[in-house]
Amino acid sequence: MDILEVSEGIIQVMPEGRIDATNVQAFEETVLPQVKPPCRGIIVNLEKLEYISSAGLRAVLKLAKAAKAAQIKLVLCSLVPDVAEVFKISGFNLLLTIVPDLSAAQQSLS
Amino acid sequence: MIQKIILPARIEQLTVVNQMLREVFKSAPKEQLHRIELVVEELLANVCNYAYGGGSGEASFSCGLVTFDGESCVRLQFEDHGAPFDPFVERPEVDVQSDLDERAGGGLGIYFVTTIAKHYVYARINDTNQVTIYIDNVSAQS
Repeated sequence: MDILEVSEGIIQVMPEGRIDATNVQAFEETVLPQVKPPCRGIIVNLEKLEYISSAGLRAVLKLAKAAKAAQIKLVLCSLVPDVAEVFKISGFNLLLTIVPDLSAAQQSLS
Repeated sequence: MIQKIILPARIEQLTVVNQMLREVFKSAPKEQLHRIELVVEELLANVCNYAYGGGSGEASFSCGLVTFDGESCVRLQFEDHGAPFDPFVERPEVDVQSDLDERAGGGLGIYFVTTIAKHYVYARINDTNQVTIYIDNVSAQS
């Protein structure tokens, strides 16, 4: 999973496939160190993510809390239906900024 | 028909278990398989984290279609020989309305299980923890 700077201070992460208990640590270790200045916004683009479990959601929660503490905006985009269902069951759709696609995500951070 | 495997209680075994699920439920709709995978991951994680106190041990996992309460259901079952542990009792509460500052991550997985399952039961039989989940079989012919 790469970190891409899409514009000044705004980074995009795009995890692929699955985030589950077997690989969640790698996701955390890639993303959490980014949550600091000069970063001012993070887009988590889930277009290529097919599956996320409670382990993945806990990592997203960690990320959201870290971003809030660092006053960095966090937005998620492009959730596929199975992933959107998990966010809905858990109530994470109410907790986080989730938008339909990347351009909506960039707009929300501008 | 129920298929059963025995495996070490290590979370890396999730890959093996998922392969089995994809084979057993190969004609299930995608959303159905997804819900099954969510439940199974959480139950396997519970066994790996709690059953053997950090030591090694074995678990058995079985899955298949059964008739439950007169209806076709997916049945998923984990067994281990660890310390007594009822995942449905020993769990933090999840408040889906709470805000980011209040929200803790604990209990989320078992919350998925109890939300998705039509019926769930824990039993302690001799030295065995047994967790059984029934999920509506949405691909059943009527």
